[in-house]
Amino acid sequence: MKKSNINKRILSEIHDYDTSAKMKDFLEEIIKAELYNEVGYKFIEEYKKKIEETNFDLNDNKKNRN
Amino acid sequence: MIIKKIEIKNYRQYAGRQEINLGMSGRFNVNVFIGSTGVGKTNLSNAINWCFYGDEFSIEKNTKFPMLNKDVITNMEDGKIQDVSVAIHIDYEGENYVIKREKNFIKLKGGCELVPYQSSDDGSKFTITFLATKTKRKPSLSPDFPTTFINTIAPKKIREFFFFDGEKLKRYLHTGSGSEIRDSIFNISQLDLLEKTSNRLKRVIVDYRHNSRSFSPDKGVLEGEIKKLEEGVEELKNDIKTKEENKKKLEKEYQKFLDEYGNLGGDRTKALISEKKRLDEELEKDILKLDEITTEKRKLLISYSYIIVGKKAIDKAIKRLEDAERKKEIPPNVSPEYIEGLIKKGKSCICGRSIGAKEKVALTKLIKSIISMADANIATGTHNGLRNLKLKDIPILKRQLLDNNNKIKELDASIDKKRHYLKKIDSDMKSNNKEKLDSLYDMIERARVSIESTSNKITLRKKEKEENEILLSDKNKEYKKNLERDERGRVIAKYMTFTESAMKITEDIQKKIMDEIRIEIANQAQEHYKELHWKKNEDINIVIGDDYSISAIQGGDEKMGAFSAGEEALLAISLLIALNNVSGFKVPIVMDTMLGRIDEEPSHSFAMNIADYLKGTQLIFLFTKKEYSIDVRKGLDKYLCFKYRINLKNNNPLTAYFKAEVES
Repeated sequence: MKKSNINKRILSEIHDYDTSAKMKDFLEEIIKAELYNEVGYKFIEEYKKKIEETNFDLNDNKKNRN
Repeated sequence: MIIKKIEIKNYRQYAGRQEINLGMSGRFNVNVFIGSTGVGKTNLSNAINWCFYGDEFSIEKNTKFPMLNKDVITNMEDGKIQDVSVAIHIDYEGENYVIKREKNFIKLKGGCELVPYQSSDDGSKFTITFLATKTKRKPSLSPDFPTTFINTIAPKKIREFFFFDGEKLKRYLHTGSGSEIRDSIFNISQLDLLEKTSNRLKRVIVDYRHNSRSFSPDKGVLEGEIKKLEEGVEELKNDIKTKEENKKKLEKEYQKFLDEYGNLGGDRTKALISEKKRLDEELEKDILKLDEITTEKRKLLISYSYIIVGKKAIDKAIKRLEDAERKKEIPPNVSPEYIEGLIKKGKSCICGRSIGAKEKVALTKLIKSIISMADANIATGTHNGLRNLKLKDIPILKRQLLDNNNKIKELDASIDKKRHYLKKIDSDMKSNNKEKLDSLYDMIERARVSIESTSNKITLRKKEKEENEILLSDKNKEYKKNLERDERGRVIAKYMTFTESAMKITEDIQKKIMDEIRIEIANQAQEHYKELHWKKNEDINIVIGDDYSISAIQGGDEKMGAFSAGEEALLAISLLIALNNVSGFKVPIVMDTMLGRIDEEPSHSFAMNIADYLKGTQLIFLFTKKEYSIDVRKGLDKYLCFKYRINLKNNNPLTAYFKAEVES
């Protein structure tokens, strides 16, 4: 599959996945960051920063997110 | 993408500079090259590969033959430099580009050496030029980054789905080819983004664990154990992969010996070999199935071990509880709802006394303790619970074990029968033997024993890996429990849980997409197979299973073992076309010696259907004279764009040239 198509597909799968809105936001953010090479050699710190920003909340209201 | 022209200079058999026009226009999508074995057909495919990707698809990396034409080397003076180059003119979505790769060589005493271009790893110069036209003045893809350009229009890792090699067709269909099909599907799915994300999340977890070690020293020990187990699992994975590759090589060797043996021994031996091959494959499947059921049985016994081991203790506990019940030593159940009702009323139902603040606190405590007692009862087993455990679970366990034992018995019998039959075939083959066949037979046997022993080692390693993974999961749980003892640890444990969930989601999504693509490829392969098959009424279902092994089912039975060479090749071509289609890249398909092992009838059917079936895709066929029979010609000529013969000047194998026969 062409990369552009599969990347759209991955984002849409994340959107449809049965999980918290914060988890979806986090995954979308890191996938996009990986896609545009924004996560560099310091990726552990970058990832951790993003994880900590979510306040590790797995149980927020799933319906709050479009 | 359409290839419009290829310019070759001094590349392998092709001395001097040569130009060939290719094309596709309307329904004319076929380009044909015909040449005897060894004149340079495969090297034309290699030239395209080298130009695009910097390596040659069908040439071993350490080949002793130089890339610069040997005739050119002979005629060079010492110290002089000559270049090898391949330039491909393409039309990509209405824009014209020239992709060119070149290398320089210097003649020195005793041979020639590469004069590398500084800018590249392999010493070649790789450029892409945009050719502006009146309507297209600017390129939509930047030619300044050639490798990125190529990976956008035709990625290297999926090139085998547009460079078909007739010699390698069967590899998708042999036993254990599942991993190759899985890799192919993964490659065309372009899911590396998910894989990369998942791997990075894994490293973040390791980092969290590593940093939390400073909170208390005992975590360091656990971390060390986890690390060791993780390394062990990784090592086992690599070992399994190496052994599986080794097994593939052995199977290839085994097949080669069998073919040689069959060719020497005549029709009777060939029939015996074909039967032996079929039985070998069935036997392997039986052994795998047996292993699966034995593992299932082991897991079942482990999961019920508390009943098996503790049966006496359970019986004793039940007896004691029954005695206590008889003696009325067990108090009646008081439900938390009843006590809640009392608190609400503010009065005792029995004596009518008011319930004060102190009593309310005591009663609330009681509710909590009843609830936790109930939890404890569930965990340890109450009187009834114990009875239920015994009465309910043992018959299920018995039934499941009986079912497993029956299956194991059936498989054992089937394996014995097949082994016995194989022995008979072996002795028939021996009695049919001439003296010169003996050594070949020994080699077949040695290869077979090696395959069997490698298979056993793989099974053992897989079990070991499974056990280590269970241990690893337990250790991880223990680590987290340990971590949750203090405040800082609890925060880290939550981060880790969040990261693990993120990793699981990326893996789930990857699996979901792969599964959908797998089914899509099986459906398309089936459609192509039916379309290209010479018997149109063959009702065969092509299935790619969860383990990515391919099967052809007819009337509920596996038919692949009974496939003719033509049918096998057709199925492999259908699979490659499906992989190409699903990949979404509109690139020319180069088919090298595809009909070499196929009989007349399927070849004809293939030639009649392929061009129309793949209309809109440029097709480049490289045929031997024998392959390009009258029937094949008839089938393809209706769609012909260009046709060339590859000839040799004065029968010199180093001076191949293209002679145009048909130009569109």
